[in-house]
Amino acid sequence: MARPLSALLPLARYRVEGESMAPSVSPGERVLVNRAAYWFSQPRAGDLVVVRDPRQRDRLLLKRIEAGVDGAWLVRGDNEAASTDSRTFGPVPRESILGKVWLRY
Amino acid sequence: MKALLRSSLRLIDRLSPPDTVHAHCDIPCGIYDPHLAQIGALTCVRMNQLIEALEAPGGAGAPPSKEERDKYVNSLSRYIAVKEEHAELVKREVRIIWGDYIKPEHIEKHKDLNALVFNIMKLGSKVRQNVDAQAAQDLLADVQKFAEIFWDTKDAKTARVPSRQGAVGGELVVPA
Repeated sequence: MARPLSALLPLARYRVEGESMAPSVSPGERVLVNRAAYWFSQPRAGDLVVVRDPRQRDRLLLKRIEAGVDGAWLVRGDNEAASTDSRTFGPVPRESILGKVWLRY
Repeated sequence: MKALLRSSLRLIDRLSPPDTVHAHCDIPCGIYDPHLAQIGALTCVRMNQLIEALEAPGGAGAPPSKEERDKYVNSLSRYIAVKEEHAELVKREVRIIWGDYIKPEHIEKHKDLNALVFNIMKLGSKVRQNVDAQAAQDLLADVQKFAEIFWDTKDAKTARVPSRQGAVGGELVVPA
């Protein structure tokens, strides 16, 4: 029942793996993501978002929006020494940003 | 209210586990280097050389004096202790890079990496357990290969340079 019901909502749950968002989000923490967050507005610097890895489309990354450039967005890990982000793979297009973190649990 | 939401979400997670979102890559320091592992392996090679070169105490047929015997046992014990430590250092350094830094995509590109690490662990133990110069050379050779793979994951070309550490000889892999 849980899956069909949640599929109707623009919400998604994820479990975080890795250290690149430490100390704000730690490995093992869960996040609830609002997939409708950018239906009517643009991502803003500082938003915690789930993006598709441009190097591997089926892999999802948790990053923070740094800035917008020409309709694409630069994303960064909070823990720069331990993050692979736009410094490596460049800006990500709007459609690769799946949603904004609403809640950590 | 938020507490209720959180506990409900955790309950849902238990019924249907959430997907993974990656916040990789390295642990906070992000600094890894296979140099220490190579120094450890080179030290094991050197200790085997020293053990081999160590002359047994006493002359032919004559039992060694206490002084000769103590000197011999002292030197041998020290070489063995250093061999133990450095073989363990190799295992530890390789394990940290493999466990903390290496990612699935690296394994995909370097398909023999897991087998190589396994072999390094086994050779490290063999070097500890025995006086085996060949095992120490094999350990060094495998750690060199490991170093080359490590630098390749960082898109760094490598060179094998003479260790310039005197009698031990040998080469070290360095980023070019």
